[in-house]
Amino acid sequence: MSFQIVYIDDEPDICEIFSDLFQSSTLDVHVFTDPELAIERLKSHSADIVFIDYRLPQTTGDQVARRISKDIPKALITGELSVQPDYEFDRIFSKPLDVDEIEKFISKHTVK
Amino acid sequence: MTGTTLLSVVFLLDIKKFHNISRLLFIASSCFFILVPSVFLGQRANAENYFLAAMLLPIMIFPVEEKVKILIGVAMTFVIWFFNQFGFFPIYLNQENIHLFPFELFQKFNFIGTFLIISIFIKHYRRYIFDVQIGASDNLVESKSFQSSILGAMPSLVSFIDENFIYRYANPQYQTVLGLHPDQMVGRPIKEVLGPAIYDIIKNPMTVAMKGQRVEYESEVVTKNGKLLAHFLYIPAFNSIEKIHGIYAIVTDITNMKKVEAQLEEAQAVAKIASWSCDLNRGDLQWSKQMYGHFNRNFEEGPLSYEEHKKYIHADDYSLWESAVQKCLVDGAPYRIRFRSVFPDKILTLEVQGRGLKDSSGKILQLLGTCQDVTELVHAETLTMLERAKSIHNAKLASLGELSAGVAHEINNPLAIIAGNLDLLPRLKADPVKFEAKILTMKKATERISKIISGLQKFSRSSESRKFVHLKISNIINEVSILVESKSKKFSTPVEFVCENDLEIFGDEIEIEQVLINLINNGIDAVKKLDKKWVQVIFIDDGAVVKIQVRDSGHGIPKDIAKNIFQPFFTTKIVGEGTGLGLSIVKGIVDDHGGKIEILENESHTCFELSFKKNEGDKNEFPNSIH
Repeated sequence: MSFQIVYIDDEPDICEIFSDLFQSSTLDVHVFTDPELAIERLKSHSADIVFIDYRLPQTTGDQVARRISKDIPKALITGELSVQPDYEFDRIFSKPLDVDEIEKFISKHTVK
Repeated sequence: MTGTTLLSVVFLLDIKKFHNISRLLFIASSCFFILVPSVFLGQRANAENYFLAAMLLPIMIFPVEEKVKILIGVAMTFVIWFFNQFGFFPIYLNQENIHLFPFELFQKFNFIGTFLIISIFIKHYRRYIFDVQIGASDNLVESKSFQSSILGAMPSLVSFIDENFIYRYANPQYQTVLGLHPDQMVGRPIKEVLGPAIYDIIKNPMTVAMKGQRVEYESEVVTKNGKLLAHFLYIPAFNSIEKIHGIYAIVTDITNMKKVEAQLEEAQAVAKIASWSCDLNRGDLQWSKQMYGHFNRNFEEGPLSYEEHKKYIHADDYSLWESAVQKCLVDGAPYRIRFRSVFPDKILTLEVQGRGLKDSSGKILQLLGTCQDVTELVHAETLTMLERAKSIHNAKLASLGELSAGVAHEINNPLAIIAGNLDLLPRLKADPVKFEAKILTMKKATERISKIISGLQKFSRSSESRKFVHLKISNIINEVSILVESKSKKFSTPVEFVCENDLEIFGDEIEIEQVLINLINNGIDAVKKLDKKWVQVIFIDDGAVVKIQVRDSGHGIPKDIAKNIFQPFFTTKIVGEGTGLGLSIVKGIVDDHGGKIEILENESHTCFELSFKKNEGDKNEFPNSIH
């Protein structure tokens, strides 16, 4: 049973990279450029980690985080210089993505 | 007869030359010589002589016009002679006649003698009887025509006061000013007429004048009409033997004149504006009091000469000043220039206006004008310009701050793409197609970063290095679209640029871009809460100018906001959302470009319209009288 990762970012290129980097036999990566679709999916499907980009169309990563179940660990990805999100994320990552760091984070939260 | 002769001789003489006392003595001795022979020598005393003496003596003593005196004297002589012929006068003294030569002879030829004397009268005093013109200045004031026409009309008080401080003459103005009729004044002492208060003011100067010195002074005087400021002039009057017999007093009310003078001085002081004139013949300058301050000089020192004052003009400004003055010397045309006057401890900036006064032949006789100290004004103007430049720069930095947040994101995304793909590449060695595709993606991403960086670089340049050049609209569109992309995406407000032909405008690239970015950002902010959100930038070719319309999907700006919208610090945004400086700076930039910005009315959507010149050239080329 693979772990479910949800990634939300308005840049399709970056979604593609994330998917290419982390999709594996053990990790199932679901990418969304539209946060609404992601929220919909999470209502019916569970996820192990949700990565949310801060700068999203008409909303911000923290707004989206509030609308997702508290039980799911969430990480914020941001390209901003300084951001003060209105939510307690488990971790904040800045772009460009540090693959090693993200891998470590995924391991931590997918060890059962 | 003797009496008659003597009395006539008395008339012949110019007894006015004699002091009152000697005059009296002479008359007394004449009477003596009339009476004594008759009484003591037994000569018949002709009664007519007594009558004549009785009639004539008072006339001689009392102040009656000379002409009148003579006429009366002559008439009396005739009358008495006439009646005497008819034995009208009784013999006064019953004495034996003493036929003493030449008395008898005189008696017989009484009437001849009388006639002779009368004819001599007429010869000498003809001008008094027949002429209107008065020659002797002593009689000037007494002449009726002078009195009524000139002295009556003079606004000043004119009087003649004798050496005993008694009024001998007063002109009709005394009635108007002091409520005193001249008739009530003449013959009365001045102390009595004017009252002790005024007498105290005038007694000392008048005493000095009575000693033969011309005195001039000003003093406040309290009258029934209130407090006045009066100018007093005392002119001593000398009689024919160089002795004082009184003074002429001329008193003028200068209260209003002083008030006006004081007001003018104060106005000049407040406005720091002085007046000057220069007589070109004499080459000297006339200065109002304020002028002295402008040339760092004391009032007591008097004005500088034309040549002297040139030395204080700043060397760099000298030629400007000189050419303005030279031109005015030729045609008298008005000029207005600013120049600096230099002193050891300070430099003042003066604004001088001047013009020339011509004579009938067109020659310039005089230059005159004003001189205002505008040092503070210039200082304030300079400060304002610096402040404006600073605030434009600061606003740019502020916008830069705003932009940088969005731009960082913009750069980080392509960076993430590059970094991410680089990490992937090792795994894709086996798949050349995908490998190539990723390389291409990375290349595009680097280009994206470059564009943003170059856009930022240009944007942060300071306005001191502003350069007016021909700008292609297409370039402007490219630059601006990159810089507004972030905000446009964030708020899902598409920004569309519409330009038919490849137009060019003349201006500074950074500033024009700043204007457009500001208006576009405002548009995006304005439509945040609307269902339909868009911003459109349309470029229109309009002859010598290019019109740029920045429209948004909003429904216009209310008139009361529209009229204030370009004022500094005016904002409808809440605190922290905007500085309120944006549009005022935009307007400043547009003005500097000789352009125009306005909010169009009667449009279905909000529309800001800008106009910029296509080419360099005179502001006159700008159509529709922009200014």
